[in-house]
Amino acid sequence: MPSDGLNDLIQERQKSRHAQRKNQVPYAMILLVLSCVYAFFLWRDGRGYTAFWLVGIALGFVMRNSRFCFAATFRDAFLFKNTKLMRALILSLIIGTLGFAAIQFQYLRNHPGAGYDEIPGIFDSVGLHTVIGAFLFGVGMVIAGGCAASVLMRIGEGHALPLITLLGFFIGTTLGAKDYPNWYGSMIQNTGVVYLPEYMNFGAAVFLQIAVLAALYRLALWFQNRKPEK
Amino acid sequence: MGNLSSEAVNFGKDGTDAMKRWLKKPWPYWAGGVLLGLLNILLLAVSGTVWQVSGGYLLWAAGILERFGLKPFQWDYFQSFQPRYAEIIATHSVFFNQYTILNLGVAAGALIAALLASQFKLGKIKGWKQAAFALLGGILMGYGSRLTGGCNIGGFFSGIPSLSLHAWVFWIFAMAGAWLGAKLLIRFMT
Repeated sequence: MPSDGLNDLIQERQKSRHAQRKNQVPYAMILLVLSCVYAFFLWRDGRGYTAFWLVGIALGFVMRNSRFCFAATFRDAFLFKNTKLMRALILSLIIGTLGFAAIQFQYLRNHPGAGYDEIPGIFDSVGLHTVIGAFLFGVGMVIAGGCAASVLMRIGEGHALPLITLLGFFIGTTLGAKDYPNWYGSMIQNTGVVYLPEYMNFGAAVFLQIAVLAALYRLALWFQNRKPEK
Repeated sequence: MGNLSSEAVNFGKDGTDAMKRWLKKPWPYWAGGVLLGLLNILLLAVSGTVWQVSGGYLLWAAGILERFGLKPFQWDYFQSFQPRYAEIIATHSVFFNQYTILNLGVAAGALIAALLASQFKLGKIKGWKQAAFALLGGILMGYGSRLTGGCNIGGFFSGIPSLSLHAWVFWIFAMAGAWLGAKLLIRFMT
């Protein structure tokens, strides 16, 4: 089976995590205190950055402790027929959809006719550029062994390799931004944001999305059970 | 199960041991997923901004170029995405803004978690091949993320809950790309 070699590679990459090491909890405590001090300074600064700092720490903490990795989500499903991580991701998206929908619904009721820059969330035009960009991203994520977020997480764990990925990201993102006018001229300019609630009732959009996510969850479960795990 | 609950009741050394095990042993994926989803909602509710990563990378990279005398912030890109970046550029907070602080927070959170589990270790790079793949992968992700309005976090993980169709397209084609990436890994790394 060709994926055995890759499995070894992944094991190799993760091996360092399992080695026995000295007690590092005191350092963690020092860092926790420093983080709180920094949060206090951010709060005093008054630019509303405190939430970003604290939620960022929580996100990094959860990602690390649950070994959540978006690159592995896609990779494991294909190579090892293991969809555990994929199902966790879908669950996360279902929860996110419910929360975001509540926030958006509330906002739109108070601000009818709000633009995409104002509606809470993140929106981008959809078209061939999305297809190309996402494909390139998918290839990069798997060969680098980590996505944009897990690069940060693994730098925090002390790995050196993600620093190189980060450097690559800087180079690629700069090139992409520089080239943007070409892409805009050839494919982006005639596309726009497709915000689902504009095409149907708000509740129907949320319901439809959750139904699709739930169906995908079932599909992922079926996909894994189809072949017994080795 | 019985063992676990008795540990929870017994404070003192047993409690510390249970705590240590809780921090060392990976949490189940579903728990991670639930918490990440809730944290993203919390961030949106409190700050009005969703979790995103690559915007902060772009600002850092452009900020570095600016230090070298280039003028990246005059590129058309930043005109096209004015609502997101105009204020940050105008106030000269390219290195210090909500996006970069969020990124630093994620790294700090992971560092704290690794230290609490006593599993922090400075890693070394094993071989040029691995380094080349890491660099190339980064470049592909960086370039791709400029076309899709964000990385797998902003463009996908936050995009799907935003009810924006682009995130669904991102999901499908990132999976296709991941499939090719996996084939490439097998071909060249093993």
